[in-house]
Amino acid sequence: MTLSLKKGGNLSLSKEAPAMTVAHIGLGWDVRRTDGVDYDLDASLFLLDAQGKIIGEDGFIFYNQKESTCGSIVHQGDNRTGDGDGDDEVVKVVLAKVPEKIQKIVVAVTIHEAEKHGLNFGQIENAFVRVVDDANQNEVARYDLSEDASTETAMLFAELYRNNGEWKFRAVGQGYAGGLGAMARSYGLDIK
Amino acid sequence: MVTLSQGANAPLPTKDLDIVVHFGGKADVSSFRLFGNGKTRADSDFVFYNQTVNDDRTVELNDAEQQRKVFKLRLGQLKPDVEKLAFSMTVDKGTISNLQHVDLMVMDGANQLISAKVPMQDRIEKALILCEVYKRNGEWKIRFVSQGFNGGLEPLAKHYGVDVESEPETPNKEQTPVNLSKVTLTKSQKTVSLEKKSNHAHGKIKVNLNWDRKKSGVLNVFAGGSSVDLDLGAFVRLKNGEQFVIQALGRSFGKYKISPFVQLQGDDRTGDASQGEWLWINGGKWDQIDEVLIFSFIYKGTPNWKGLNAKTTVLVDGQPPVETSLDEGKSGLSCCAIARLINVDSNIHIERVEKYFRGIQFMDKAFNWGFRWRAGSK
Repeated sequence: MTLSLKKGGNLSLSKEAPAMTVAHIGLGWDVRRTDGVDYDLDASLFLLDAQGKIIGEDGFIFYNQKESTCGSIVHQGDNRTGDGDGDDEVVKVVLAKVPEKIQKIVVAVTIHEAEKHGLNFGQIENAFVRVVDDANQNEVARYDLSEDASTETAMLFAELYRNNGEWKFRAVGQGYAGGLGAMARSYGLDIK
Repeated sequence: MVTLSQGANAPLPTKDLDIVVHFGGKADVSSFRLFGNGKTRADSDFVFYNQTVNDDRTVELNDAEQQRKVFKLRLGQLKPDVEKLAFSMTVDKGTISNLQHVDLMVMDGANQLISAKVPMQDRIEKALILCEVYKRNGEWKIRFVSQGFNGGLEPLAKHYGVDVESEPETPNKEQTPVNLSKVTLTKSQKTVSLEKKSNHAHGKIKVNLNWDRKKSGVLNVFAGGSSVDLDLGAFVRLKNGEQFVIQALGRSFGKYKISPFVQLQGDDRTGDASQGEWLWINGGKWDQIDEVLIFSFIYKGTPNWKGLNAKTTVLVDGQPPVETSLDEGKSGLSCCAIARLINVDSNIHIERVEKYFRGIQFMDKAFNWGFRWRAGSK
């Protein structure tokens, strides 16, 4: 059964889906229906250590670096399975294979050229993040964040984190006005 | 007072309030009453200068002043299945940017609760959704939308499901009813044209490639020992001249919602799925597409098309499926141009090709696309 989370809410993936080995993190939003530039949203991940800092340059997973060094975290790019479930971007995490030094995986979404086109998350309808058990495609958790989004152009959608030997999922829904660069810098990564 | 910028939302503390639109220039305002699917249900859901109040008086427009329009809302009296009220403005001449300013105010009597200012720079819309008043968890909220439609009232009204009378269609006696039986393209009947239904965009265009898979067996062993993996791909040319190659090789799966509006739906590399491979073309964006050349190539296994019984089906909503099979079965040539989908006056003109090539580069050359090629792998 899907658990719908509210902003700030969390749940234990290890408890809700004990058999899940590969977490499919799906992100989606509605296509633009008014005229103008199409919404092009990019998902990226920050792999953080126990201090909340990025583990290194290889801890930033995005469209130009789709896979973690350990191979356990893979950004799939666009949904190509045609499941019809509407995920626009998918990240797969092999939970047991994530190295111990990675304590937290932050899932962020940015709007491509947001400022140039005057776009922000408040204009994008039905944005969501969900965790699906890759083996049986059962949805474990879901967070609809359209109502929590406003004038931000970059948002932390959710995070997966270790807690007492369990993997937990938290609905974050926090925006960054400064875009991807500001977000990355806050985790100690220098982006030009 | 709360000031909202584009995209921002705020709760509405009261159910009886006024939405005031104040602007410099000449414009009309309207309101749409929307139900669960984001659409209107009847003409009475539409409030504008010719119908200034709806049936249950929950939305009432004071249209008297030229540059200051007032909507009086009684949210408490709305039917329970109303999800949203949308408020919009349209201009007859020029675009929204020709107005000197557009300001939105939410008033509780004389008390201003909310203000919002439409950014006027670079606006090319003729119709603008100003704001939406919507129910969320039982509470009423307002979102300042400030997005619109370049085509004006007609696409705006359609967006909310209102039928707008446009020019009457001339009845055509010779028009044949849509035949929903299958169309098979052959060497002698090479083409078919799927016409755009009046005023509606094409729906999703689905292209399927399927073939017989024999995983083991004496014949296969002699033929090369492994089963054959067929890949489906496409060359796409948009009206703006941009060209794309969509194929699993190099992971160029394309995108459906945005350019190039063509997306490969997974690669059936194992051959397990009985459905074969699927490619989706966004029919809603067909007016931006010039041509899609559908091709297939043998990614793994001996290039021998004989006995594969490969068949391509093009499915368009509300249209008969169009099938073509690859029955000339050349061997030694790994690449086959199957069919071309060409935008002819917004219709989908499908032409069977079935031509075989030594490689994708040769196919490119034969059809004069002019891509630059380098080696790739999956």
